[in-house]
Amino acid sequence: MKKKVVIVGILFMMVFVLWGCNNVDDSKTVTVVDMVGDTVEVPKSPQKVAVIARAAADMMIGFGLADSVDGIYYSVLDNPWVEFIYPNIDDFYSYDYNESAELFLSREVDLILAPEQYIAEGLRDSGLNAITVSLYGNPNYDDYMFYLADLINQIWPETDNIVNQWKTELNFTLDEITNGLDSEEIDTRSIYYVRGDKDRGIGYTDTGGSLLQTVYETYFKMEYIGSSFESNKPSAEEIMLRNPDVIVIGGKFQNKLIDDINTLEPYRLLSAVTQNQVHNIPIGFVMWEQNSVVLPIFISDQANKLYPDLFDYDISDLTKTSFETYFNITLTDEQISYMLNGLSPNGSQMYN
Amino acid sequence: MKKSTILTYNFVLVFILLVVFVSALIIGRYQISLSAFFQILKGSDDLYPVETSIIINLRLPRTIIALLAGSALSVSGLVYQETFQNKLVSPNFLGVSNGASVGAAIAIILGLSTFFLSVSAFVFGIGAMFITIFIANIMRNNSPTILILSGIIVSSFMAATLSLLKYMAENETQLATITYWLMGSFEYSKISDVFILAPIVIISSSILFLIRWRINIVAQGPSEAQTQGLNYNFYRLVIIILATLMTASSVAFAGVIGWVGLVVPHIIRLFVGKNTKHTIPLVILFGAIFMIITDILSRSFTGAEIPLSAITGFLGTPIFIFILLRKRSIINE
Repeated sequence: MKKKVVIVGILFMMVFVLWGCNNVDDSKTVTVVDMVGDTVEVPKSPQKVAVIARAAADMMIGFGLADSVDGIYYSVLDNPWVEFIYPNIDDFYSYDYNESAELFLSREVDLILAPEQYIAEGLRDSGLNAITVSLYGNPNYDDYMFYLADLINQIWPETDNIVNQWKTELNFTLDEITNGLDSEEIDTRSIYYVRGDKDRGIGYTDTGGSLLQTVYETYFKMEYIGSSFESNKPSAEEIMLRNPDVIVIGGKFQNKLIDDINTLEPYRLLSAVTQNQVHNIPIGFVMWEQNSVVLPIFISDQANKLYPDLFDYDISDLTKTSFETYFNITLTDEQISYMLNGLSPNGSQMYN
Repeated sequence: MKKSTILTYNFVLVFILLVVFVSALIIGRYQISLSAFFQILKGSDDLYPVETSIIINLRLPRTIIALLAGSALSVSGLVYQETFQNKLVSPNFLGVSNGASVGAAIAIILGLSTFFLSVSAFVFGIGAMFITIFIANIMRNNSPTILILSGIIVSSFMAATLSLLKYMAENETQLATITYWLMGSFEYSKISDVFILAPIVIISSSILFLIRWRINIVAQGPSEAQTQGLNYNFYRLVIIILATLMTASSVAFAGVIGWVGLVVPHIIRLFVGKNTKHTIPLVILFGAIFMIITDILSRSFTGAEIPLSAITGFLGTPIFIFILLRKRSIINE
């Protein structure tokens, strides 16, 4: 009998110890659902993260996690505003789009934020922690406006305050836009986005599922014509056929493209051009049209441009405050003007 | 074949070419009514500014380039096939297309402008052809087979170089551009391109047409040519250089377009036989028609343009199977 009591006691102790061990593991990892719906267990508060997904780079820095970043996708670093805003840019390793698992293993990264599912899956197969952080939502971006901030907050709980502050700002902006437009009779106008991060001409855009589709369709009550294209490279005739009411142009080639659309045949005959409805999208640490810490200001800036009779935000002031809050940098009025006009920190064209 | 029949074929093809050319100006993603088109032709273009701009700035340049490239690739394919006595030879065989592709890929990676991209493609295309001839000369054997083998060697080397360049290209921008260029397109054709391509194609085709009798003799091989007192090596070199000039310049302005140079000569031979006296003008006309129709298909059905090689591949495959079924002998020719 005594022997049985001892055995049961030992078993209880083992169960207790194992349960305790399990609890210790739980505190070191967190289970997240990435942007393509994959459930992945990743380390909590990792200290060495490879940010290949450019969608996440700006928020990582903006939410105070620069020390946890091992490296960033090189195309993000190839932007003069990045070094201006974050001078310690040389601390970051410059990653290519689809690096080998061996490189990440040799650099001993804790977590990889990959831009595409196949990349993340491949890295996970090699025993690495990798999740997909895409620029596009599935099936659209409506449920992803806060996703990235929530994801960062879930993995780094210490970002609670700054993430909540950002979410409050975004919620406030979205509410103002929604209320402002709901109270008005608005004709649905069509809008076409020219993606100017590469010099591929007017016929280069984003198709459905992007943040822009959600911003323009869901919040600004417009018809985002890119969502109806089967490719992100519509032909010149297709653009002429759609004849959008408004055109927005972003990226570092924006000023060249704005010049092109105003002068080149047949684009200069588009209604948006003849009606002076071609607008730029500012560019800072990243292009403002992608999810970033300046998302609330991007939406305010577009509200001013798309509905000038209804909205009049002080974008310069909002920009100044935002960069002080998230990047701890005070921009001069001149620098803010350059940023809002798609120019580099010294006022030159970004594509030179 | 009767002279009148050949003349009839020529007239029919000229008529079809005119109809297809005009149709290419009217048909497209942006719909232009016939009445608007004729109003524009009559000079009332101020009533239709958008339509006029689309016709003049988008459709006219690309249709002329399509006409020139289709003619150039087809007639090049024809004279290559005759000269090398091999009916399965196409303009790609001497490494010209792959050489031009390497030139274009280098230009894209270096970030050169569209004009220099065309220049680079042209220079590398011609360069590949000269390397092919050089290798064949080293062999000290003037048989067509040696030249074809040299072409395969150079073509394979250029393909390997192209793979390396694609590997080195920047993923998000350059690789996509190289890939798109390799599939062929008239999307970025400008009227200024016409002024460069047209003289090359017109002069080269005219010379080939003028020496069509000699091409017939070269096609019979070196022994037969010498028997008839023809300088075989000289004329073969002239034919190859002219055909290569046309191929390289077409590839430089429109990218790599497969099948046309292989299939079009066979279609014409089905109707009029292999006499280059008859085939050269018909191949020029039919190649132009084939390419303009391909271009119309590439830009009319979807919002984004379908690459030309995809369409020529889909059209060319069944046509070539049909030709093989009708004329199995070409395998052994």
